[in-house]
Amino acid sequence: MKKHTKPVLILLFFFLLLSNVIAWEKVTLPNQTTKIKEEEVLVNGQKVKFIHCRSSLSREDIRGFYSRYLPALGWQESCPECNQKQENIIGTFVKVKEKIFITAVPFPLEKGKNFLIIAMSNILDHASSEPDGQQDSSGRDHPLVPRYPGSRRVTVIESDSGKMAQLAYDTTDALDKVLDFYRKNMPDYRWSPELETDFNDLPKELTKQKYGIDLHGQGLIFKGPSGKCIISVIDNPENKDSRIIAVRVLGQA
Amino acid sequence: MIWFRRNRRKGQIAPFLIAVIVILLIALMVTVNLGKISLTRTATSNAADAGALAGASTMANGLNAIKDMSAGMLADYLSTQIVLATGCLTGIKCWEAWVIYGAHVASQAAMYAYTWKVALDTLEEAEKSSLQLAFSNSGINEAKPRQDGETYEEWLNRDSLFSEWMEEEGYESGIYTWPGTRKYGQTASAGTNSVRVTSSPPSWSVIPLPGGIFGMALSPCPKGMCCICYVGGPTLWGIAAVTGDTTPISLEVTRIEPDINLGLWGMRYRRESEAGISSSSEAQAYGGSVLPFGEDYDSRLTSAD
Repeated sequence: MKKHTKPVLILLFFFLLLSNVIAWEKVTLPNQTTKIKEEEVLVNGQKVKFIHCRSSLSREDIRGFYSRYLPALGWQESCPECNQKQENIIGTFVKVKEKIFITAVPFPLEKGKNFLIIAMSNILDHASSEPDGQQDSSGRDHPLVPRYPGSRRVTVIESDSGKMAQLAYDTTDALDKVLDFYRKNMPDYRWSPELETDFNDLPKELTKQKYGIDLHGQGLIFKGPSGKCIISVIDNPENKDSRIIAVRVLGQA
Repeated sequence: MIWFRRNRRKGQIAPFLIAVIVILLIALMVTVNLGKISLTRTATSNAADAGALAGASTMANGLNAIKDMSAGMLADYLSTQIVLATGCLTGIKCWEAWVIYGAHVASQAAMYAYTWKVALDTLEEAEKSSLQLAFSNSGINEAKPRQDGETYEEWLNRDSLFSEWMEEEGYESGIYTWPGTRKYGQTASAGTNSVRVTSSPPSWSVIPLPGGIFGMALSPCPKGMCCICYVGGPTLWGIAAVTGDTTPISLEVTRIEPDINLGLWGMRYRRESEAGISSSSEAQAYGGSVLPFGEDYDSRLTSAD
């Protein structure tokens, strides 16, 4: 190896390493707000940073703070009228290719307190570009879960640690056929069946009358060597010819 | 001293000595008997405490697992909310947004159903572990009698009858009746010594956290980047509480040991018809919450009798 080759290779290695690290912009928290934790999640293969906080401020006060603070730093609020349609959404702010999404959810059992969640993303572009959406979204299938043949991948959300993954597919095949596929093929991937639940038999708390949740389909829960996998297959509420397959993997690093 | 010398009579000490020996013998028997009762009471008390704590510890672990699932549900809720809320910016189409919403709601519902299963499994496991620990600590793992022709190594590797019974999960029956006729080198009538353990875990109810999830996506218009399609509806975003989570698990351990020969002569200190020596304890999971980012549960003994 020549004299200068080694330092050049080391520099090249660091450059490659740095190119994968996103420099997240620091976001100031309002008063009476404490950070609980930070984490990174991959949404369709692209990194999103979450900052989870607990705040004693009302949602209006949080909204007021960020609608003054972020525009002063060059962030523009995207579709403010859209954000006001849902009271949990504080706002979506954009600066060149960077985005900040802020939501506040009321803290259960503690009146007046909110979970404040700030999500930051550099590029969260959806890959499906064809008009009829025949293409899979970006990201990848989960390596430990079989993919239903002929289905289309719509979204992939996975934690950076690989301990949690949520994938959504759609297919035109019948509900029972899809369920049978998973019943038959999951054991080949070292998953053993643990529970089957019919969404029609869910406890009363979840009925349409109370929470408006109306699902037609089943959930299959499997146990693996170091985690669980929950496969839910339901009729698409917006398209009678389509079935939605949700795959959630927990604790499988 | 002078008085004793003057009134000394031969054999005067004999009746006094006999009386003292009789009193000493009775005292010795009472002491041994009381000691035996005390040991048995200590064993039942230890068994009740250990069993109750084991049950509460299992319940705390189960509640912590439910808390982790609740945090997982929140993480999914937030990720999905972000994907849907930024749908217009990222080019998500309406049909895709509905699939994302449907997948999310179905997954959350399945997770909720699963937390119910975890809760029920936890209570079952808590009962089992409390019985297991209570029997293991009740002081009845008697010495193995050496069988004819058995070598020392064979004897060493062989399980006792009690160990075999434990391995075969006989503890789930809640009662162990000692089948042998010897125990700790003492004799006892077969089938009369027994330990009974009653475990009473609480009942739980899993309460979901309802919420809404909404977003905007692109309508099918070919040129427009207009957000005219609103997607979303009700969903669950975590687990609010497990009712009964801090209700204690209670345990009662009773030992009956009639007709025990203490080596002096046959004497009963506890008749079979009597209730036996009992101890009861209660322990609970405490200090935690199943809410996302809530505190972890721990376990503690709340009462011992």
